[in-house]
Amino acid sequence: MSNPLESVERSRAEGMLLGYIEVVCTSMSLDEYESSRRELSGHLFELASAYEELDLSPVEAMRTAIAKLGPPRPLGDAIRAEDPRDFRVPCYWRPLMAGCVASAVAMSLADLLVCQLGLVGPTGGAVFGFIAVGMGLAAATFVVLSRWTLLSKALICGLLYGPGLVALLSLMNGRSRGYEFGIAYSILFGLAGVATVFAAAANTARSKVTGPAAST
Amino acid sequence: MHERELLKGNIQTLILAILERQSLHGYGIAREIERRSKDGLSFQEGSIYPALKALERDGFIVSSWETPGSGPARKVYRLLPTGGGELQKRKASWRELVGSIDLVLGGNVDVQPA
Repeated sequence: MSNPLESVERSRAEGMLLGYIEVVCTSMSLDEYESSRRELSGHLFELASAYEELDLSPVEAMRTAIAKLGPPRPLGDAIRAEDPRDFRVPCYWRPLMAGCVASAVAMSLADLLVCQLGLVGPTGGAVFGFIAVGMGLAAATFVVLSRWTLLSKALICGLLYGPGLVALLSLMNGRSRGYEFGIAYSILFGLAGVATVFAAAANTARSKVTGPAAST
Repeated sequence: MHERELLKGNIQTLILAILERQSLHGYGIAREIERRSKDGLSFQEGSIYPALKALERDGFIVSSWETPGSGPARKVYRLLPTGGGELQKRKASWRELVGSIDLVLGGNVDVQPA
């Protein structure tokens, strides 16, 4: 015959486990939630069983096991931070903002330099601003999501930024620009692309150092 | 506190070293770290899971659900050849770091007579 006290203890221990797992796995993607829940429950059950063999009550054993695993919220944050499927804009707002600002500043400086060299008249205007921010956003997203090395990312952005912008400006002007214009813009805006990649990457690295992943 | 910080930065390397010898689940990895360190490494076992996830994401290990003879299914992790290569690199850089720190400590430690 089962001991009713032990049965109550076991229910309490199970409740503690479920409460812990719920806090760890909150806001995880569905696949990750299911996998982490099963994995962490198994770990806690095995650990608690080992403590019970040392003559701890089920509740005490579960409490000790939970303490051994660590605080649930930072653990959940750290697991989510490593989940490649967990793409949530708020996680990346800093690198995206860094990319936009770096792109806008670098492009404005490059444009100013080209104007100072007398190759073209000032482009300026709201359209130019939107293009700069849009390209910065694209470059920063590329930095955040791709798994290539930083140098490869910078090379790709450098090669796409300048020629892409020259093609766009030529299209907007309805006529092809001169050879010097193309070369100068390609080089300067290529450098703007590289600057954007480095700014966004630096920001991503800073987020990783100060973010939840570092707190485990 | 200092030891905990040091361990935090090297938990992935420890996991790779454990998985080099045998495929294990999270709980098993924690016990094996405890056993091989002779209980010298005290850490929060939850920190194993983000590290496992990062190693799997980077293509160094792979996981699969396995059901033992008795008990619930376990997620067992296995080292991939790329993980073996990464472990060798990490071992080499760890030894280099420890050697350099030893040189500095050895050169500066001033033992006072009791």
